[in-house]
Amino acid sequence: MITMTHYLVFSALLFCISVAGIFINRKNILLLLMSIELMLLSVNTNFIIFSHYSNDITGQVFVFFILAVAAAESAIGLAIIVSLFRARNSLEINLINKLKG
Amino acid sequence: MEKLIMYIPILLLISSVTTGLLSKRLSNVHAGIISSSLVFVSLILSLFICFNIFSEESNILYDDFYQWISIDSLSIGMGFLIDKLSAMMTVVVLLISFLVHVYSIGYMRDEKDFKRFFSYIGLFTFSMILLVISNNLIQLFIGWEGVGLVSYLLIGFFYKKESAIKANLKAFLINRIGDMFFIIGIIMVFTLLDSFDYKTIFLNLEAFDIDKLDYIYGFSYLDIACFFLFIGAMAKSAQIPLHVWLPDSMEGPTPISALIHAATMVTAGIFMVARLSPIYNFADVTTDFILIIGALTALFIGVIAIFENDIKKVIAYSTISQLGYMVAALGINAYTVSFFHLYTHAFFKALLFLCAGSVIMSLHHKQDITKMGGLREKLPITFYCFLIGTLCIIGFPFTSGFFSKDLILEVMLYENTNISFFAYSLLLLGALVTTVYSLRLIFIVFYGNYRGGDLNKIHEESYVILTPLIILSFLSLVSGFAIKIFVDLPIFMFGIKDIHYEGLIPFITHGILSPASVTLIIGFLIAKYLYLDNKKISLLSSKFLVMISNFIKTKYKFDEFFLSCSDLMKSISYHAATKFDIKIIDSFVVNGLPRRINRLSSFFRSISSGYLYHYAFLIVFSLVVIFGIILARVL
Amino acid sequence: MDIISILFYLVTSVVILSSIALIAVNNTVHAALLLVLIFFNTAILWLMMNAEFLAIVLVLVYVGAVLVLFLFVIMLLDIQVQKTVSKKLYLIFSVVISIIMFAELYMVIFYHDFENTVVENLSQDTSNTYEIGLLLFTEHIFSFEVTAFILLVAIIAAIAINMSDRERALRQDPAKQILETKKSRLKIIKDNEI
Repeated sequence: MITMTHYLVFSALLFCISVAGIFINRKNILLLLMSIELMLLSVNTNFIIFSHYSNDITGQVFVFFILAVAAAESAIGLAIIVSLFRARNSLEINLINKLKG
Repeated sequence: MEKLIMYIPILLLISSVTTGLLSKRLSNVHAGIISSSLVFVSLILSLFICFNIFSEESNILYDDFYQWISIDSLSIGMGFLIDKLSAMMTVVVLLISFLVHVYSIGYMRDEKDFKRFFSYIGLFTFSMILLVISNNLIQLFIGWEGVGLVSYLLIGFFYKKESAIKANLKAFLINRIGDMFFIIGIIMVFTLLDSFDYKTIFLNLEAFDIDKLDYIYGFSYLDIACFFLFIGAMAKSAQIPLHVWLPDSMEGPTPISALIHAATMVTAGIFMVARLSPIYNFADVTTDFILIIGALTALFIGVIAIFENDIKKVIAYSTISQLGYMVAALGINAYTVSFFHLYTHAFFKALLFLCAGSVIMSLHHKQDITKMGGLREKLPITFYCFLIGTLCIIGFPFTSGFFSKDLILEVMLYENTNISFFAYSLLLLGALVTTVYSLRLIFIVFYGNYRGGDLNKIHEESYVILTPLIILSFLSLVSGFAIKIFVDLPIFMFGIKDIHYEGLIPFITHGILSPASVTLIIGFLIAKYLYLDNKKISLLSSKFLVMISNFIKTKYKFDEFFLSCSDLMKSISYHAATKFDIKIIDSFVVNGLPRRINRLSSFFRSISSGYLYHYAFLIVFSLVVIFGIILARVL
Repeated sequence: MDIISILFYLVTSVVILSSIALIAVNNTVHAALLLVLIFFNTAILWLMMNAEFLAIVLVLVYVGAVLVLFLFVIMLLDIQVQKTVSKKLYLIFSVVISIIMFAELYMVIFYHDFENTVVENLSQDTSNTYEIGLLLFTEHIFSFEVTAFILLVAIIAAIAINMSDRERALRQDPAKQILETKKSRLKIIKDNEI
């Protein structure tokens, strides 16, 4: 029998993997964006789990909004990546260190 | 009715702003007429309000028209409190201000900065009205500072004269000392009684358990608060030892000396104490202090005037002396009596100053009385007005000064404590001194022979100047008959002090038979002997008395005292600057702190590598640590 | 083991494995395709939790639009395939931190003991889409409008960022930089010439 705990552990695992993805990756900024999508997905999954098990549809409404905002975010992110690539001719993260103190 | 009160300060502000801002567009005469007529309109309004107040018994107008700051119990607003006291004060201020405006059109006509002058006096009248009608301490303080500022500006009106600049700096600094204590007093009153608003303060005072007052070295906090407030009044009303600015303030134009430094602004201190009389009623130690200060000022500053040769400074010293009388009356809680003297003094002192101005103008800005003399025939109208003013100030029967001064003396005698008897004797001597210096002035200036050159060039000034003199003479003569109003003048939320008053006729007969009349006669004889007949009294040339008179001529060395104080402060601050400022602040804090920060930041800089994944790593790492701490606590 | 459990373990293992592959893979195109796989499988999981509408939205919007956008950008930019993982120290650190994090999350989940939470019988007569719609257009109508506005802003922003023409684009051109001389960049003006 699959319980709520199974789902929660799954989504925690997914979240941790994507967090690791963010700092393992140091070459490609696109993969960074994908990791963020993955994190959002695990968060959304969590919302749905709780919505389902507490029998409250509001959680799903929330997921709806998150999906919309995430879509907007990735659209703008990709646009920024395109213009970044135009300006610098590469997408390597370790070449972007203008913030160095 | 409430609306009308608002218009008074607004009109005055308009007067000040138009003459100030439109100075390039307006001609001198137009500017003078505009501001005079605006003051006149507000005078009419205030008279209307005053009659309204007096027509009904215990009619008090009280309202806020603007809420400024409101935090919890702290509430500061702009408002007005018109009882009989402030209604009369408003009328007096506006009346004298109007007359001075008219006088100034004549007096200042040749001045380049004519419109600046009118802008200043407009601002002055505005601030004074703001002070008088205020219903809370903050607005009072704003008006208080406003009149101080304008006083500063006007003393230094002739800004190319070095002595004027020094005098206005002096006035400003001395007033700062007073204002500092004044604001401490205001804050103490707020902490004790929890409001800036008069009505709330006095209501809280009534509910205040006097036995539960905190004491410090035997003085109650209320006493100390009153004391600090009174120091502010001392600076403003020129009481010993903070009087030193007033004689020097005569550097300003003469109409200003009449308006600000004789009739209105210097009485702000007295007005303030009278306004806060419910609080002062509880401050026994402070009122004794007030009494002594007032009596000392009345006598000893009066003595200086005998030896002074500048016509305006003589009158300035007499102003300080008369203020001493008012303050002394405050010291025995006889606020209405003090206010009565304030009211009569405003008229005759303004009159004296304006007369002096007329004399000075006729003599082409000469102020040294040793260069004058015999002006009686040449300046008849000025002479008679000056005579009336002098009679008033020395308390000649049936003049206004007679009523108010005698009332103060009588109340003082009636108080019947050791300290008040001491004050009474000082004030009586002061009356003698007043007679001597006032008559000296009139004898030297208007009698004898002219000592300044050609007498024929001198002639009376225009009627713009003379009309205010005549009006003021009339007012000075008759204003004393209003004594009945003042004897039972109710002050806002203050129980009336019981004054035995049996009617006009008994008062006059009693006054004539009192010791004050004796001083009048003795003073007249001395002055006549010394200054009119120019005889020498052999007693006066004795070594001891010459020493005393030389000491008096140094003005008791108050100026030197303040100068040495400032020298002391200078040397202290010099040492502080070299030791504390350079060694500790500059090298340790200012330069040392950045050096340490630089060292620290070079460490932190190595953390911020600029790589995205380092930041992400740090964020997640910190998150994990914080999360772990929370978990460890919960589980 | 019933069929639901089998399905659950199958789907979750696919998701976990492919996400590990996603962060380790070098090729961006592969990564994007793996992401498609992950999304599909998660949609199945959502379906198992009666969230039919969102599962469909995930497939349609995410797989159909966002991921296509990803692929489109990848193709457009022509990125050279490079080794993504660098120093070993960082790798170890990252993995350790992630494991600790997972441990902490695990502790939280078990501390709360969600085991006993039972699904109450949902009202079967109304569909999931209907219920979401009901809430969306009554209680959350303002948020819904704001979301629409956010999407509009995103469209405009995405266009605005990339609309600059070639000339004005801030792009370094090393060849041009080398060819620059001192004379072409610097002009010395003497005082008397002004």
